[in-house]
Amino acid sequence: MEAYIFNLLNLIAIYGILAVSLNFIIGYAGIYSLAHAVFFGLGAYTSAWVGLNVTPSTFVTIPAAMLVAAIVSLVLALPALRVRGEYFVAASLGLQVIAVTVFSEWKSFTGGIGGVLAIPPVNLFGAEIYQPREFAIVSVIALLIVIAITLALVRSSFGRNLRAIRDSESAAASFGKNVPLIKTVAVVISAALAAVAGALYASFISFINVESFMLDTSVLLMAMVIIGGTGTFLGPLVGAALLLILPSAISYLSFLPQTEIGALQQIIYGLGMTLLMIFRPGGIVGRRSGT
Amino acid sequence: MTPVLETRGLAAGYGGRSVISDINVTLNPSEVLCVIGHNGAGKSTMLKTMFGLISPDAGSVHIDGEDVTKLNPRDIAELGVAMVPEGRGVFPSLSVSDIFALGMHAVGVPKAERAERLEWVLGILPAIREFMERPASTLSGGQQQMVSIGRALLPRPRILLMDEPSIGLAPKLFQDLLAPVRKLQQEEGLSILLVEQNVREALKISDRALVVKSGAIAWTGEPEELADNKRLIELY
Repeated sequence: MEAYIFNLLNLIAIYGILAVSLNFIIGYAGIYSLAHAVFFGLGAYTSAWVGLNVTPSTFVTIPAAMLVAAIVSLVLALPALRVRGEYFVAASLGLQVIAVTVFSEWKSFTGGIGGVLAIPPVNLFGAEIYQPREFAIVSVIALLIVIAITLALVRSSFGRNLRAIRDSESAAASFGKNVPLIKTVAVVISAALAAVAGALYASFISFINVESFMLDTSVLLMAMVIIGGTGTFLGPLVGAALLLILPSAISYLSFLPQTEIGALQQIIYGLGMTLLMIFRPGGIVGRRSGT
Repeated sequence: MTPVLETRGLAAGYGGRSVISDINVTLNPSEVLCVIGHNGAGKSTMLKTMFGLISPDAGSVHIDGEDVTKLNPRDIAELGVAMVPEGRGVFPSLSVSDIFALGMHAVGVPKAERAERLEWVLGILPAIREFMERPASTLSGGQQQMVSIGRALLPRPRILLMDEPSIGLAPKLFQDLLAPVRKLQQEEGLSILLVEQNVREALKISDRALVVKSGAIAWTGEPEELADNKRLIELY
């Protein structure tokens, strides 16, 4: 039971990093991306490759993961952010589809459908950390660092620029702001932070394959942010915790027929999200409707 | 006399659709030039193209005789041009002080000068002082427009482009808002290009006027002539 709880805590921390980094662009810049799982995957594959082929040191694997994700995010951001919101969503969806194909087919880097096995655990100054309890310390610290970075950015003049762009791109441009550049930087930062989660995930699970980085993961991450409350500090964390705990919690309800538990989980889950969006469109932590 | 702002054969549009063509405009130092025309005539497109928000399809924009056609809005702002955009251009979730900070940061006002600039603007528009920390979404239309004008004045521009600042405002409030801008024009030589649909109010403060129709300049001359000429009135 203890291992289960720490496993869950690690996953909440890792998905918390993903949700916080996605909220950085959705909540503060109004950039809706359906490609966040791509940067999660790039972080995981890159850190696994570096860990297996170069050095297992986490001080190398995580920066390498961040760098690769940042570069690939530029490929998406530079052309796509010159157009308005809905086109970026479409472009990010395109990147997600392409990435799944690349993750499945580029066997020398991703292991193809079979994935990558025996990924080294987190390695800090030569000490390997693989027990869920110890790993939880690392993952929670990483989450806190990511939160601190995003909070510092949001409260800086850069964050003010992002909120201005979210409110009105054309007005921000009329201020003399370089809107495409600011949005591009935001996407690059968000992707690099998502790669941190990918690197931690690969080290924690020690096995990765394309199934963890598909469109449904991107949708799940967006759901975490929206359900928790976009543009809020706690919202993405609450959303990540809720959407990871809820499916497990439903399976513990003894009055539900165990043979139908999977279908019931989906129905309760979907119904809960729909009702939440009707009665609290600002998310759990966000503002109430009409306030 | 070299115009502070000039366009030569300017043409622009959206997605391959031409909106303005062969626009030749001059704005002289310390002049208020009023641009009037129907909805969709191309007035706002003209203003946005001058400020670098839209890349022209043809022609050029000049500031103090220098070709600035390829410059982006930030570079144009640094040359002393500010714009009060249509729809007020305030950010609902930001406080007035944040909007002002954003405005000064955007055009590179040195940190050491920011407090002084702010006081200068608050001296021109003192009512803003009362709602400095309120989110823009909680302000009235007149207050929002005041903030928009105040923000545009922060870099102490030489040229002010105003896109329909009267929208949603009573004529008296509009004149009250323009009075301090007019004072800057008279005392400090600010040049103003005012795009307006509220012709009567706009002509009261203009030195010269031009009428835009179907993306082209249909007439240019004295405001009095425009106000009295029935044939011209039909143009707008």
